[in-house]
Amino acid sequence: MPIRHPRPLPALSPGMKPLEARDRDALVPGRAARKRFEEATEAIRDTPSLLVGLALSAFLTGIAVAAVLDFGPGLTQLQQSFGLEIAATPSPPSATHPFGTLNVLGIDLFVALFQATPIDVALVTGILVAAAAIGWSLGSGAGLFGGASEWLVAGAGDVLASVPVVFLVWILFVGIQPLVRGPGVLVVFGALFVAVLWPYYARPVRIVAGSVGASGYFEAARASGASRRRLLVRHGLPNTYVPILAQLPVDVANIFFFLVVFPYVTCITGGTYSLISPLPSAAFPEWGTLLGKGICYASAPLIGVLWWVFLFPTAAIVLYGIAVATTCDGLERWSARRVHR
Amino acid sequence: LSPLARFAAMRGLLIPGQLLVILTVVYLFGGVLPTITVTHFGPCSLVGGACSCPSWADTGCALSTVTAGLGVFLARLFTGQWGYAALGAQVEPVTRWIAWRLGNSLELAAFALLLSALFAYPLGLKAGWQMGRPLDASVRSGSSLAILVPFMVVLLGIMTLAYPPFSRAFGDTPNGSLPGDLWYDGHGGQPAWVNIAGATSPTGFPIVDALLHGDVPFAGDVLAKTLLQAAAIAVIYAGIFLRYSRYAVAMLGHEEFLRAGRARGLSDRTLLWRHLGHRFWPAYLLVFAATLPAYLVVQSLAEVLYSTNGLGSLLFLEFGNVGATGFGFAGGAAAGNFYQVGLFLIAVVVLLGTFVAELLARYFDPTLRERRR
Repeated sequence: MPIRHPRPLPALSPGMKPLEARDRDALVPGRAARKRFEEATEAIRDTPSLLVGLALSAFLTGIAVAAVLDFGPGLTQLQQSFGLEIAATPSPPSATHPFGTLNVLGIDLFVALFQATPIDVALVTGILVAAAAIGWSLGSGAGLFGGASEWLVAGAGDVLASVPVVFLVWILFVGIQPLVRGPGVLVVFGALFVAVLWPYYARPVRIVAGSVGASGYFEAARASGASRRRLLVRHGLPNTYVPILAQLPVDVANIFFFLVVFPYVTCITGGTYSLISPLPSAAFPEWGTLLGKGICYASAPLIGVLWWVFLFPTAAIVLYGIAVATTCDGLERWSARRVHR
Repeated sequence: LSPLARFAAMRGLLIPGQLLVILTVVYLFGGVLPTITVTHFGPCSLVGGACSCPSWADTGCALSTVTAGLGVFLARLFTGQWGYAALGAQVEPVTRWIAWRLGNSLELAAFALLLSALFAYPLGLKAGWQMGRPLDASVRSGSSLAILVPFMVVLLGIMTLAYPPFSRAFGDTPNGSLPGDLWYDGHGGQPAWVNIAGATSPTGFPIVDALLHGDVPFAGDVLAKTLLQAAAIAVIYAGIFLRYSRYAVAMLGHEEFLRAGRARGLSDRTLLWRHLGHRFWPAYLLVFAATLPAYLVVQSLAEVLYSTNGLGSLLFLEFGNVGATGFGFAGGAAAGNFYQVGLFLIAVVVLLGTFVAELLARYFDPTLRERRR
């Protein structure tokens, strides 16, 4: 757990006590900023997993931007080809279709995955960031100050933990989705995931914040008359984010579980997935749905038969997951490094 | 009262409240909101005739009807009036489905949890003890991969690898909770103690029933299938479990009793397996409680993919058909009600499982035991 100690006050008079190096830097314009930048780059160099995570994130963001520019307004509609649709079996990877095809959907898998990249990156990152931000701020407030926010965090955590995340999101979505039409469905889906996930961040943060609240430097800051907002922003939030980093990769799995499994289950049962789909239309490009529907339509219960239907969508999902996991791991190590210094 | 009894009483009092809140959410979102768009989902299924209100804008009528409906919903849930569920064309009372399928699910869970424990306990202990070293790095990477690769792909991948050797060895597919038609053809047909829905008698546990009837080949085939499916579940669940348990061990590794043990010249082996292993049990139980919902999801998915006649597969299949079968047994819908009962049962299992795990963790925690004295 990172404990950030308050910076010592600069000496009032050079005769009384020499200034610390950091405070001398602060007196020279630009030097402090340059020093901070150097420290940050050194820290990034020392934590290779952070470098890998940031590089993967940049790579995915680059692909997403390229897809947005390439497809323009047609981004949200899969390009289906009637020629592929009537083919008897999906084609394996070839020069024409580098990732193979999905016959019933009539799509080229490479194009579909490329097209889905900005949507998946935005959707999953948006859910994770929003849930983590709410959980972080509420959990910190609850641990530091108690009161209503503590009841909210403890109560929500206890109740929501009694049903698996994906089932709870599903039941909420079933109720709300019929009231929403078009692209709003995706926003509602994201909002419901955020509503269910935030206590999973808030609960561990609350415990860490509790120990921060009992620390000497926090008491000192409180005694010096710091406002609640300053206590939270200056001392609470910077010292309570580590539990969030451990939870984020788990929730990548939760979100994609929903996106992969429910299209698959609805497909094999012949159910009316369109009634409970988080996607605005059946031709909406999305990695998880491509995987779930691909496995179902390809009638391939075993991976060896139509391996490309499994491999490429899975690779896209895992690549995103690794980007999140390594970034979180790197940030955790970076934080530990700061404390040890 | 002892501290443990006080804790049990306080924690036990919370359970009905938790259950009530979650069931209210299930009712409102699964039973009330969908009826607002009646034309979209078919006939109104709300109890008490909410559809007879002039409109939803008539809040007084709507509120009293919804409250009455919630009362009926809860009353029927807690008194076992669970309506009907459908699997394909077969429509049966939910209680009968449960009687037919519970044994299969429990048998699979027993093996999967046992294998997970055998795998995760020593590995979590050793990895947490050697934090940052190669074993820990391997465990961390392995558990991350088990989480990040979609569970469906992991489960199907394991089955793909196991399918040919299993078929050669047993003359049967590794899917299902009972032997397949091919196997029956070579072994004198389906026994009379297996009914049309694939439930065995007298206990409902296929392996136990086969042994009771002296059908050892049947028991061997089912045992092999169950072990394979359980191993696939254990790969994922142990991955989730290890992610939390190695941290728990690492935190225990800084405690004073270990330093004292080292000072007295105890070997690392003794410290790890006897002292730390003993102290790890409470943390192990708490991690199990925290990951129990994830376990239930993984087993349910495995049951769907492996065509197991379990409650998890029934739950998922009803999820898939919810748009077609309607909402809410409280409204007397003919079928399609198992998902609400299923969520109720899952909530009960998770809440009671967590309660028991927390109690056992406190009981096994030597610091608490010391305090009780």
